[in-house]
Order: sequence, then C-alpha cells, then structure tokens
Amino acid sequence: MSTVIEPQSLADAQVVLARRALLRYVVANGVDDPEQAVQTTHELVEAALHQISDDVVGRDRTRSIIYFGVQAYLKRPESRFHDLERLFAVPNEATAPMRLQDLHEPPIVVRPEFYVAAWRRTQDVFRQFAYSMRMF
Amino acid sequence: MGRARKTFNWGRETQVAVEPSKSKNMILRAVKSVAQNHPKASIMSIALAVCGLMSWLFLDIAAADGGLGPIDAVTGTFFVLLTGWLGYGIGMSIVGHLLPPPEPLSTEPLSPEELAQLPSTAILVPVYNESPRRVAAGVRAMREELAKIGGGETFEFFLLSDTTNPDIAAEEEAVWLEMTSDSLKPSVFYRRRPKNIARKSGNIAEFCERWGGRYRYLIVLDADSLMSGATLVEMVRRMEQDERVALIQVPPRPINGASLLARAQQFAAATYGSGFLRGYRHWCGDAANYWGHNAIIRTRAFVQCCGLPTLPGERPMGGEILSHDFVEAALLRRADWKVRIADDLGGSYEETPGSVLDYLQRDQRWCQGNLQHLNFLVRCQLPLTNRWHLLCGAFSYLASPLWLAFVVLQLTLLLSVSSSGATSLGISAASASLLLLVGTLILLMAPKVLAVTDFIRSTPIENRRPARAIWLDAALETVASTLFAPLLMWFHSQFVIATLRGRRVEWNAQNRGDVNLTWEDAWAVGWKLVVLGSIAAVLIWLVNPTALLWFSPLLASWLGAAPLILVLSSPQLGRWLQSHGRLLIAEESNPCPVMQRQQAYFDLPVPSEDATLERLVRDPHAMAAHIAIAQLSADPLSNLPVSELALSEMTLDQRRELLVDADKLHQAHAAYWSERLLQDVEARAR
Repeated sequence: MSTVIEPQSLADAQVVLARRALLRYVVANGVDDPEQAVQTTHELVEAALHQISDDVVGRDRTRSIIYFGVQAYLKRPESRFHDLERLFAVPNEATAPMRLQDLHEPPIVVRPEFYVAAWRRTQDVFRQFAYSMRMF
Repeated sequence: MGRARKTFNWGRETQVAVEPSKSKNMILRAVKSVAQNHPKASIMSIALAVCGLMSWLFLDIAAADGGLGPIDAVTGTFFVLLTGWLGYGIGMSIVGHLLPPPEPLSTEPLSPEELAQLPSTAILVPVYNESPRRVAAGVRAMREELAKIGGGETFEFFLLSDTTNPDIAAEEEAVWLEMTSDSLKPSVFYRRRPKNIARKSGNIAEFCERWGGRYRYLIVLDADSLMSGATLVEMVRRMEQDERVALIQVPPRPINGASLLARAQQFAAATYGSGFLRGYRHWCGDAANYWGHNAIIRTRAFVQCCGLPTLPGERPMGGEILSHDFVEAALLRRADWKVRIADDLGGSYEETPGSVLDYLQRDQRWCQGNLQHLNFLVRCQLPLTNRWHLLCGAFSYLASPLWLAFVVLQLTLLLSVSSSGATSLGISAASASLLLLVGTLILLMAPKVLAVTDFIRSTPIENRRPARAIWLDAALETVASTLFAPLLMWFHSQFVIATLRGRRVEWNAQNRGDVNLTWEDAWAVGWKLVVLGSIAAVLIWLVNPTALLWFSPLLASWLGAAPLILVLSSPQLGRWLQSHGRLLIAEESNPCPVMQRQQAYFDLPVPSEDATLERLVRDPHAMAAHIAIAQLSADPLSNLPVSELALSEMTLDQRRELLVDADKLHQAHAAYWSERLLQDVEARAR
C-alpha cells in the first residue's frame, strides 16, 4: 500500500476531521477500492482547501472543507448517472411547429338588411301560426 | 384467410346483440323507424314538444290571475329556455334508446405481426401534481396489456409532467425510474416542463413540436385514465380505415369511486349512459366533440389545425384558452376533418372527484373554461354543430343562474299573487300547477326509467344483477342526484357570476382519492344555503303552505346542505353501500384485466421512505438521475458559497428553483452533507 505524504497545511485537526468525513462520503457513494478512496479523498481535500481563505477557522473550516470537497466530488465522473441511454431513448425529432389558429377573424359584421329580413320573416311565421290557430 | 370470425369483448364492455323488437305494436315500430331514419329531427321535435307544452301550461297558469305581468313575462322567458334545455336532453336520451344498439364488434384481434404493422402511436399521459403512484398504476396496467397482446413496438408512453410541486416532481422521477427498470415494451418516457405554459394544451403542443413527427397518432389520456389494450389497438385501426378522420373520442366511464357521490355517478353513467351516447352520436355524426382525454388524434391534423392562440383581453374571458378540447374539435372540423365518437367501444375509463368540494372545484374550472367559449360563438368561423357544442357547454352552467332566478321569481309571484284563478283548461291554477309539477317529474324521470328498462332488457341475465336490485339502485341514485341538484344550482350560479365579474380560479390538481371532510368544511361551504333555505321556507309557509310541496326538493337540499355534503362525500358510506351490494357496476363485480392489473398496483405497499425533494437532495444517486432526466448541466467552474439556508427553510419558489439548477442542487447537497458528516465525525471523535 502506498503512503500518501500530506503537506503540513493539511495536517491540522480540522483537516483531519474533514478528511475522515469525506472518506466516509466517498466510500458510501461509489468508490469501493480503499486505496482509490483515500486518493480521491486527498484530492477532494486539496481542491477544497483552494476555495477556503485562511480567515475561516475552527469548526467552520472543517465544515467548509467537507462542503467544497463534496462539491468537487459531484463534478467527477464517479458521481454521474451512468444509465443515460435509458433516459434518452427518444431522440429529439422536431416536426413543424404548431400552427396557431386565428379565432377572432372575421370581425362581427353588422348588416342591417339581414336583421330587418329576419324580423319580417319572424313576423310572417307568427302571423301564419296565429292564422292556423284561428282556423283550428 | 380461412380464419373463423369471432366476437370478442373490448375490455370489460359486454357488447350484447339485441334481437330486433318482436313487438307487434305498430306505433312503437313506427316511432322507432322515425327515430332511426331521422334522429336529428326526432331529437329536435321532442325538445320542441316538451318546451312548447310545458311553456304553454306554465304561461296559462301565470295568466290565470288576470293576464301576464312583467314578472310573468320574465319568468316565462326563463322557463322556455330551461324547458328547451331539458327537452334537448330528454330528446337525446329517448331517441338514443329507440335507436338500435351498436353491432357487436365482429373483428378478430390482430396478431402480433399485424399489430407491428400498425403505425407508431404515442400514448400521452399529461400529469399535473397528481399522485405519481396512482398515475403509474394505470400506465403500468395498460403497458402490460399492450405487451401481452404484442403492441410493444407500436405504442410508446409519454408521461408529460407539468408538475409544479417539487416533492411530487421528485416522486414522479423515482416512480418512473422504478417503472422503467425492466426492459418491457412499450417504452415509457418522462418529460417535465419547469413552467406549465398554456397548461394541458401547451403540454401537448410542446410534445408535438419535439416528438410529434415520430408518431402518426396520439392517444391523449388524463392522469386518471385507463384504457384496455384491445381498445387502444382498435382506435388505431379505426383511424387507419379513414384518412379523413382526425379524432375519435371513446367516452370514458367513471370507475374506482368510493364516496356516495362518485358511486352514484358511476352507476348513472353505466346504466343510463349508453342510450344518451347513442343519441349523441347520431346527433353529431362526423362533427362530434372532443372531451380532452381518452381519444386518438391524427398528429398531422392536430399540428396543422390546433395551435391555440392567446385570446385578447383579460382572464377569465380572455387570455389562454382554458377548456381547449371543444375548441380543438371545432378547429379540426373547420378544416374539414372528421371528428367521431366511438360509443360502441368499451374499455375506456376515468375517475371522478370523490368529495363534493373536489367536484365543485373541478366544476368551477370547467365553468370558466366553458363560458370563455362564448367568445367563439359569433367571433369566428366555426361549423354550426361545433357552435352548438360550445353553446351547450356554456349553457350547462348558465342554466343554473337561470333556474335560480326562476325560483326567486316564482317565490315573488307566490308572495304577491293568489292562485285562485281559472286556466283555459277549465281547472284552477292550483290544480294546473300540480299538473305542471307532475309533468315535470315525469319528464325528468322518463329518460331514467327508459334507460333502466333498456339496460335490463339488453343485458343478459348472467351478466347483470337482478332487475329489482338495479331498480333499487336507480331509486337511490335518483334521490342522491335530486338532492345534489339544488346545491349545484347554487354553486354554479356563484361560479357564473364570479366568472362574469372577472374573478379567476386556479387550475389545481384534482383529488380523486379518499377525502374525509369535517363538519367545519361542510358548514363553511353550506351555511349560506341553510340561511337562505330557512328564510324561503318560513316565507312560503306563511303565504301558501301547500306550495312547500313544490319547493320541497330544493328546501330539503338547502336546509340540509352541510350534512348532505358530508354524506355525499363520505368514502365510508360509499364502501358500506358497496359491501351491501348497492350502486354496483359491472366493472366492480367482474373487473376487466386492465382494471385488475391497476388494482394490483394500487394494493402494493407504499415505500417506507417517500421520494421527496429532501431525498433527492440527500441521495447523490437520485440527484444524479434527476440531473440526467431533466438534462441539466452543472457549471464545472462553479463553486457556490456555503449555503446557510436549510432545505426546510426554503420558500416554495426556492425549492422549485432547485429542481432546474444543477449547481444549486449541488450546493444544497453539499450543505446537507457537510453539516451531517461534521456532526457524525465530531460525535465519533468524542
């Protein structure tokens, strides 16, 4: 088993705690090989430390290392969904866009003669009806 | 071919050949002959006869007190409109029952090879915040049916999600991943729109633009739809037979009802529905309507004709078209496509709202949508039959305020005028009023009596319950619907007035499961009716106690509004009735295979841990799947700062944003795990 020599900056207590936490996360989420897990964790801690300023200390520092370490892990291929073929079996195959229909043309046309004729016709019908009733 | 032709059932529908009537009654034969040869004229004649006779009697009574006054004239106008509407429904039902039942389907099922020759068809299941497991149960049942008969290569399912609730969206993905873990065909695809622009019509339109070119036909379902495999295949085959048919609507039959209301409705649809639908088919011909789901559509025609514009003006009358289905049918007809209704096909089901409140919520949406259709009656070129469909849709809600106004005017007349005058029939106005009441009751009951008689006569005895049980259930349904009608009149009137005043309603997901209302819920909705009913009852009692008979159904419903709402909505009462053999339908006593499969999925134990947004954020595998499904891309250079906001403290909008932003999801995931892991290692260190 190879030995990973840690720089002095990684050796403080906060980093040790963060490393432990990230190791647990990495092992639980897809990296089965112990050596690989240690190496991945080391890379994540290193990547995280680049994001954190020296002002962040104590518990916040540990938490920040884990936070950026997890974020760094999510960008690695191990964390992606592998069965992509299952998700995208239907390729995009565009058809013609839906043709929008016009529902407001033509505008209402007011034709007085139509209404006058309709009124006269109605009167005729009633007149005939009244006449037929009398006959009855 | 050399193969024997045989008859088979489509789903659970039992198509029964009915012997031609051997009755010697010449009059009945003549009537049937007229109805068969001139169905439209017969329907109109019955409607006009009912309207004319009732209106004449009504005006005669009104004029008995010394001529028609202004209130009489207004009341008379309302009465003419309402009895015309009533007569139209009665005419449709009577003519439908006089028409011969559809021929038994004598085609044989297609072989898997023949099925594979059918054009590719997409089955669309639009969902909007519905229970994913409930939707999946139906989809799985249909998928298994299609796989069994060999339709795996012809059909493909699409779950088209417009879900806005992040937890439900997360569960939809989990359910879909679970559903597609096998390699079964037909395939099921899932797509979610982050913004549900133009609601269901926009959902379908988006599908057409992205994938429509792959499919000759679309079968549009609802989240609660269920169709048998044989029916799905037959729909495609019928579309293939006539290339001018753009849409075939298969009337869905309500099932799975638990409450008394839902059970009464599904009993009514199963028992009275067939004759009415037959009459409706003959009335419409090739200009039938589209009901929004359980229908097959020719993609090309739909894409060419059914792009819906946004209407000018403010909602609810303007803006997006809310009830798109009627308008789409009209647009297809305008372009000379045929739209048909296949009432002879069974195997088409849907669920109805369980509680009265859910029912009213749905009706409020439909009311707005249907009143919006009034826009199209005069303002655009549409075929006459489709204008009629649109008018009927709107009038089904407008009739309620008319009834209410009519009742109020009648009360006014009752308080101000005595009914001692004589009518032209030579009887007193009071006696003529009783005659009118009896006539109205006969007219209301006649279609039901006809339907039940027809149902009992046309269903072989081995496929149905004893006639006495069916009559008893019909009586129970009649009591329930008679008491429910005055409630609907009141609430529909409120919806119409609210719509005309410009008040909008949200189109929320419909609850079809069990709902246990409380007294507070029922009282909050019904107290106004109790007050109004009490005032009306006292006034009538003081002025004319005998008139209480006239108003008794209305007063009983209004005075007992709160308990009535509770009773109608109660799933316990519905199940109790079911266990005692009441309001049973054939689908319950002998469920078809697709219903059995669906029920088996309903009965599966619910996973101990719900798939929610919390789980999606916590579980890296679920999150990775979500990012892949939603086709999100994370910025490789982004390093969002440590989030101090816990998921439980986020607003709904922030939670929705998470679902469409991979970087923010990563941030939330890292924030959760950094806190959790830190606590964990600290505890171990101690």
